[in-house]
Amino acid sequence: MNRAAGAAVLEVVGVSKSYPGVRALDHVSFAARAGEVHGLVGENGAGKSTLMRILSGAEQPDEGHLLAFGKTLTLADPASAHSAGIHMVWQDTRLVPDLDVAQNIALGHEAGGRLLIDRAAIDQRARAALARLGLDLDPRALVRMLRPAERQMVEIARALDGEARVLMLDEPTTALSAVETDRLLGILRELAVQGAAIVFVSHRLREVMSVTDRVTVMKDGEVVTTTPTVELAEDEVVRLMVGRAIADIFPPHAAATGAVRLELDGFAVPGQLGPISLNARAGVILGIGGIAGNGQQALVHALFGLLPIKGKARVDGEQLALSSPHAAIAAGLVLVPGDRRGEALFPPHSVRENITLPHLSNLARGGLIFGAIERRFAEAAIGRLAIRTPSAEQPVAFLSGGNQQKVVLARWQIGKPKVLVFEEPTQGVDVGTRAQIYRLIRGLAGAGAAVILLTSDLIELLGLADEIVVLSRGQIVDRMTAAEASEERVIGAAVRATAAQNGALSRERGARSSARYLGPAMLGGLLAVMVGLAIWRSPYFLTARNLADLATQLAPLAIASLGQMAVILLGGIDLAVGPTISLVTGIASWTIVSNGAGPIAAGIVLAMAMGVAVGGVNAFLIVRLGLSDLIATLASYSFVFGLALIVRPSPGGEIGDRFLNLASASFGGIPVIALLTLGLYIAAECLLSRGRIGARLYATGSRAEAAFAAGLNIARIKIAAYLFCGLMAAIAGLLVAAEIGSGDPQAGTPFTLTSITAVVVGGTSIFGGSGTAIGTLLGALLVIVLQNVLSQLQVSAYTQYVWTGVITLIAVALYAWRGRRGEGIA
Amino acid sequence: MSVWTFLRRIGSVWIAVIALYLLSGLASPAMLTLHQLLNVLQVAAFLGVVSLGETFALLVAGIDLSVAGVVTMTNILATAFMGGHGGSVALGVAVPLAVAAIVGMINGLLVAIVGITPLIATLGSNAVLYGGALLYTGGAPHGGTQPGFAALGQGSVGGLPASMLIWFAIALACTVLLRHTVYGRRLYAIGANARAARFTGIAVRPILVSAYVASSLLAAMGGLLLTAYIGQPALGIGDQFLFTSIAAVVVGGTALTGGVGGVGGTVGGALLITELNSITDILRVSTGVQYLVQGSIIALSVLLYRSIDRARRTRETM
Repeated sequence: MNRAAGAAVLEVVGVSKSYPGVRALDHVSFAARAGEVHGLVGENGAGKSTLMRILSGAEQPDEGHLLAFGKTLTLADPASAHSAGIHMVWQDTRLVPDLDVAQNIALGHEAGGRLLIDRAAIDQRARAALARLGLDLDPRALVRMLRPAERQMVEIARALDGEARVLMLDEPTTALSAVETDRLLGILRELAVQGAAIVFVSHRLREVMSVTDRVTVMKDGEVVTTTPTVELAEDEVVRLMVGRAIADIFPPHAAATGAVRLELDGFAVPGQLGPISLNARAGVILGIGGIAGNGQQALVHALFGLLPIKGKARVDGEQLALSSPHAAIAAGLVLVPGDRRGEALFPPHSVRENITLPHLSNLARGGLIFGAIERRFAEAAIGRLAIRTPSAEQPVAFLSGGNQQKVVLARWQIGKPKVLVFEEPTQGVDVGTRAQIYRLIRGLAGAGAAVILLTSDLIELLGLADEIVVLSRGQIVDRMTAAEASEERVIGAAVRATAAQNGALSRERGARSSARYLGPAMLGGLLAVMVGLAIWRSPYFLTARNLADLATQLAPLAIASLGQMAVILLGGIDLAVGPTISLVTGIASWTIVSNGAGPIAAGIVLAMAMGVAVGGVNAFLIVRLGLSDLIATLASYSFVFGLALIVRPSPGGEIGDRFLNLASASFGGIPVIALLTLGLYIAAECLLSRGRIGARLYATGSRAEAAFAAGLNIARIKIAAYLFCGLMAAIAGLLVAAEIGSGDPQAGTPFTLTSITAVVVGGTSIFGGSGTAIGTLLGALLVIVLQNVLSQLQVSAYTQYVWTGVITLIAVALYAWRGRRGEGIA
Repeated sequence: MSVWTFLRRIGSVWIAVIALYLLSGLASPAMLTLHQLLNVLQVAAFLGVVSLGETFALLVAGIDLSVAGVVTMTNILATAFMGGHGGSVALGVAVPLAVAAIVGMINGLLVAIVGITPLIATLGSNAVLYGGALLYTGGAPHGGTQPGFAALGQGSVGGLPASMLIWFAIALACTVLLRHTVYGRRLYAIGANARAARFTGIAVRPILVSAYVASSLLAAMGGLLLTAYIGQPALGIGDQFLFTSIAAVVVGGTALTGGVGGVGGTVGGALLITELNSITDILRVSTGVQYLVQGSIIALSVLLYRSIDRARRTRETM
């Protein structure tokens, strides 16, 4: 490397970026130099994350540009950032939960050939990357089974695996123990010495001061300063971040304390928290500190009845039921969630509706709401909190983050709550509004409520809380008053206690990626039992003729289901499969009437082209126009069905004998079609389990944003899946046409449901990301065998609709049940 | 939702309804007579009532594909219980409604408690209902309606079609229920953000279930009106509603993502779809073309509403 030390590897020049209601970056300039660790600090909402998203290629600046070694650099997507040598470590880890550790590390650049990937090489490389971080993790362990700290380390291992010229890390240490943190900081220094440019984004100023060469401070979307770290003192950095003295932002601490309002006694969430005992008193803001994921959120969710608990909780001496948020709110306990968009706001609804929702019963008689009273009620709240909105009828989605948070506060300021819990109350809120929100929180405490504050922002915790408890591994490891508290003491307590646990958990958890065939094996067993019963009850079942019939019936469903599966693996659905099959039978009944090789070939090509065209329309509507897959394929269902009716308004036409003979040819007594179907499935299973395309499908279906961040072209993958589904439907249509020998606008109708049935019964998750081709084949086989057996038992053919519906519902219900276990909140 | 959005969303469908009506007058001047207008309204009532039900499902960010099966089942059961001597109108009305309530309850429980995606849950129950209707009739349904009952679909009151009056009355009741009651506001909140609704202390599951029950019940009412109109059983009579009900709601401005839209738009949407079908009838095009048009209309209207929302968003923020 002959690069001069200190060259600007990556420069940001005058970049601005706005979102609805917020100017996130305002002419920001910033340079990362080779060989240095550069600290990037600022409060929540200062613009650090937006800057990272732009540098990762996930978003484009409105103004300004980027330079690499002095040359203009355009980052159209994460893939181009990767090829420019820019790698990211995200705080909320961009890992794919349904893939294992090694697959995640290799995602987007797997070793191997064009079609297949080299699993051994991938595992080897993952082991090496993990070993570098001193991590002893099984490369085949599924990411969804890992602890947050382990996920964070895997994310870091992935970034180190690439040839990173610029490595940006967003709060990489929040989930780590002291030992892990030290090791990581050491590696960062080492990488810098080797010539990489490291950008270290963190709230933990102690770490920033110890590891960085220069520090850039951001505030309200602007760069305040970039200074060599040695020239700055820690409290100077804080002053620059906040923009004024701390005393001007935070209201004074509580002067006097009142009676105990919330009392926790031996309170525990099995596996996550406690048992702990804690009192929150009137007028006091009680801060909960510690490393994220150590029981803080469990505490909040348990108080709101979202998690099963042990022990006692009392409000004003009265035992809490803790069965649901409803019960908690009725008892005077109120939560202002940290995830404002996900857990607090109703974005399309007006400010008025957002404020009054929990109080509607008080504004109504006999269930009917008094509109005028409600409006006055909302307008009073808007005035009281100085919410900036053109009117009470403005959708809350159009407000700025700070005003949205005021709307949530307005909602709960009413009705004198006894205990208020705030989670990250100023996330995404500008500094000006932040001071107002702090005063509001202080005011609520002053009015007699007990306030509990959960925040990852140490400045906020120390500035606002009157008392602080530090949680680690679900236990209280330290308690202090505001006077005794310091950043050192809070972090120290949390980190020391967490160090002990290092890596102990991961080995007990069993789920590995090799459990792939467990589901299909069980389904195979079920099928075997069914076939056994069929043989026992009906001697006809095992005859060569019946088996050949079964194979012929299986082929179209199996092929259509394979296409459907590709779409469902991505979390989509294709309702147009049935009408496409109908349309193809209609086309075949016009084109394949003579026995010449030419017309037959032309008919087949036309049918397949039609299938691909339907897939293309779906892909266009979904990927390019952004319609939901449901509405897009519902529209194309209607459209294609219309075409099928135009081509053949009623069953008719006669397909040539030669095509029929071709389709029913057999080889050693086995229909050729069945052999081809089997071959297709074996190829599909190989490509899914060890092919490049499989890795892409699973990653995109499991977590599209992670796949995107890894540089995969999600749009192309989706388009390919819908085209493939259309093509498979067309082939299935040709087989159906061969079976019935004519065209029929209704021939394909049942296939929309039965193809979905085969896929979900075969164990593919309806939410995408997991499933096997073998399972889908067995699912299709189950449908066909059931049909066959029931018809031999003289059961009416009409029951087919009933039981396909019922087994689909049962299969999906079982998987939904399994998937939801451990998640807690629906 | 603000008054502005309300007018904007619901306004566009009504403009389309009027424009299409005038346009149909160009194709066939007879369309513009009062008689023909009332005719369209009479026939639109069936889809109108069914799609009011579908509105409930879409408002809670769900979908109900089982309305097709419910309408067919209603038609079969109503004619079976009413037909012939000793047929009972009371039973013919009560049994389908009871069955529909059970179907809606099952759909709702599958979605709200078991956690199945609404699409799969209702697609599955639609298949069960269709199979059930086939089995019940053995493929050859027979039965009929009583004259008094038939008046609901065929008769008129003061020159206005009875079916239309019933449709408007139900629509009015739904408007009050959804817009002016605590229940309705909670339902909208769940549709906009179920998790936030739960965190606000709303009991989400019972309301979700109730939305699917409402959807099924209204589908059955639409099916009863339709049965009164045609007077006989017909297997698969409900199939047409699978798409048209969703098309009517979506065209009327109710978002698939939930919590946005409402009854006023759906009434317009049902009228628009019925007008389209009667125009295609006048032009003597095949059913195939009708499906073609419906498919395009669904996709286009979703795109249109989205661009309206985006335009407004960029204008009003910043």
